[in-house]
Amino acid sequence: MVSSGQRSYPRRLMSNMRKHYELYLLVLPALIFFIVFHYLPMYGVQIAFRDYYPGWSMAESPWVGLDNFRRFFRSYQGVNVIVNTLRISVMGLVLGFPGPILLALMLNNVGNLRFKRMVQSVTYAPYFISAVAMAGMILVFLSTNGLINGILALTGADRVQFMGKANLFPWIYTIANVWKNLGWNSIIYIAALAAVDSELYEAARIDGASRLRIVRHIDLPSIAPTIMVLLILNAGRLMSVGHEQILLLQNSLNRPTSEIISTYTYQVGLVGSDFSYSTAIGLFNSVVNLVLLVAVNAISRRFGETSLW
Amino acid sequence: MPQTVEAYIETLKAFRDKDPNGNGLKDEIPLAPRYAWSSLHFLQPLSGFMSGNSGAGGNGSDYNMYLDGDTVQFAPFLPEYRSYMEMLAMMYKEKLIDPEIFTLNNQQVLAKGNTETPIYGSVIASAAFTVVGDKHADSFVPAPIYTAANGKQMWYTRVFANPGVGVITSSCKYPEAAVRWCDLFYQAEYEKLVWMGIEGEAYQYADDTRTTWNWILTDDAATANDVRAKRTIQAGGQGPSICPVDWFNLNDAVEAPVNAQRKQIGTDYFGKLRVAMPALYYDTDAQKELTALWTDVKSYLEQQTALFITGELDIESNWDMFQQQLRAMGAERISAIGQQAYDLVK
Repeated sequence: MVSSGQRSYPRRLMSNMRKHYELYLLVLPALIFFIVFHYLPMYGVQIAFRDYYPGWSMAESPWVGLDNFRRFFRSYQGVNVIVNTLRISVMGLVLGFPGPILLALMLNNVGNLRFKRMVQSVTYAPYFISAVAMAGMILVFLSTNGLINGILALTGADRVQFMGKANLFPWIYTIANVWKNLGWNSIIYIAALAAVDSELYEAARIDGASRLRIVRHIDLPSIAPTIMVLLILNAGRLMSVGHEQILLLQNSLNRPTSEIISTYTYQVGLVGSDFSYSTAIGLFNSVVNLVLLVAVNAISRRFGETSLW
Repeated sequence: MPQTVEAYIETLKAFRDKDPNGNGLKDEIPLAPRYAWSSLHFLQPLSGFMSGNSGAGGNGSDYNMYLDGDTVQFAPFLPEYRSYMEMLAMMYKEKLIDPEIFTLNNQQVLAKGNTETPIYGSVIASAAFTVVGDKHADSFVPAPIYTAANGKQMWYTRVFANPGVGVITSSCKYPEAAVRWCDLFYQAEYEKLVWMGIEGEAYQYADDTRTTWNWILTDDAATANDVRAKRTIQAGGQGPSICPVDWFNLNDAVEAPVNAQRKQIGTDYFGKLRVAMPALYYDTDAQKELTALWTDVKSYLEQQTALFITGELDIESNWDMFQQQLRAMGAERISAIGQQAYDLVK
């Protein structure tokens, strides 16, 4: 008789599955979803290494190895779009990450329940604005006869074509998105704070701790794991900035800073019908994201207890 | 009507300064291009060259090439291209072009054109009504074709034939029949059938002279667009056909004056209307190279010329850098490939 600790993994898995088959059945739909929609399509990734011609099958298209990747790094746009993507993404992380934490901490200290709920609803409502409407709002507010320019004109300043200034574009995009996502992103922190044992607060208050001290020594440590996990996940998305909104805000004047990897992939792949090249760029993007995710996770595991796996 | 480029610029300045709409405000926009990119191209003949609508909104099939005699040039390398940029930068600085040209979208351009008090002094469009609507269209007339500083006089003509839409493959069983069918394209009756539909059902001639004609509007096809969509084959799509001459004799309230203007221009400037670059056919490798080059060159061109025009980049001090960057991106190959393809068919 072999003890269970020495049995091989597949055999242990099989016996486990037989024992708890109801639970495995529950996981099955999600597993099928990922296989069908996330793993099977990876078959198409091969066109990044081929000279794909629509109409031919993928296997028929000639194999070109890393040519498409070489072309991307040599191209005038290559370095440019990588830098632009990173700029917008890092700005989003730096400006957008602390906000929801602060909001959650502040709301947690609000005694008046009705006020708290109202602030929560008001701050997360913008999250539901679609990218198109959002871009429309930005364009209207910032147009030369829009709200901001109207205020500027009242103070006697010259009207500025905000959307035509390349150096303003990352700021406009980032600030608009911070505003849009602030409330939504704070929900998870608010939930984490709600789970903190109220005895801890009572004990602290009896010991005479001030509000700020409570925030520092109870609130922050208790949401630290949540913060860490979200930071890791965000780092994994560093190279992927959503393209819808940027595409809608883009014009030839702000393109020096607004052309990012995803809009460039769109231009090359869908507008220019250069499928292999755009797949190669997309693949490069995903690989960098994966590396970042693994790296940040490893760092976090080394310096703290929190990690994704 | 101004007869020289200088007089034309002065006219635009008058639109700007003299309050022609009489509302006491300096709200006039002297020149409004319908699309930022493809429309500004139409000012190139003022500098004595022309390249196609390869900006956003254009089909890009001529890759900014210009056929100068028998030489294929990449337009941005021409000295004339620089004077064209300088002219646009001057016009932008003098507020002769809509200052928001690169940030407006097409709907906003049209909205500005359709205001109660007209604010557009002139427009660049295939016809005025497409920008300012039927309301103001009557007050617009076509500008003459100016002689550029290099002595050349030219203007864009539109080719009403779509090449490359018919192919006979090796698996065709009856190639003779296919060729006979293609031959139909050149017959007036077939052309009319494709573009105008069946006589008496989709259209009818106004009288026995059979010159001008009208769409037959019915309950289920109440507008010209509906008739075209329901009763003709070529409803703005790219079917295999050649545009019939009669197409330009439509007696429609909106189109008739435009067609009359077109005819007048055709007679007045016979021989001066041309295409920037004839449609060429490239072999697979050449086409691939062009597409790869063009993706980056096009976006760089759009970006840089917008910066030049708006004055964000100084032309004088940045022109050499601009030319070098284009060369570094391989733009010289574009005209070389074009020349090769042209030499085969000239």
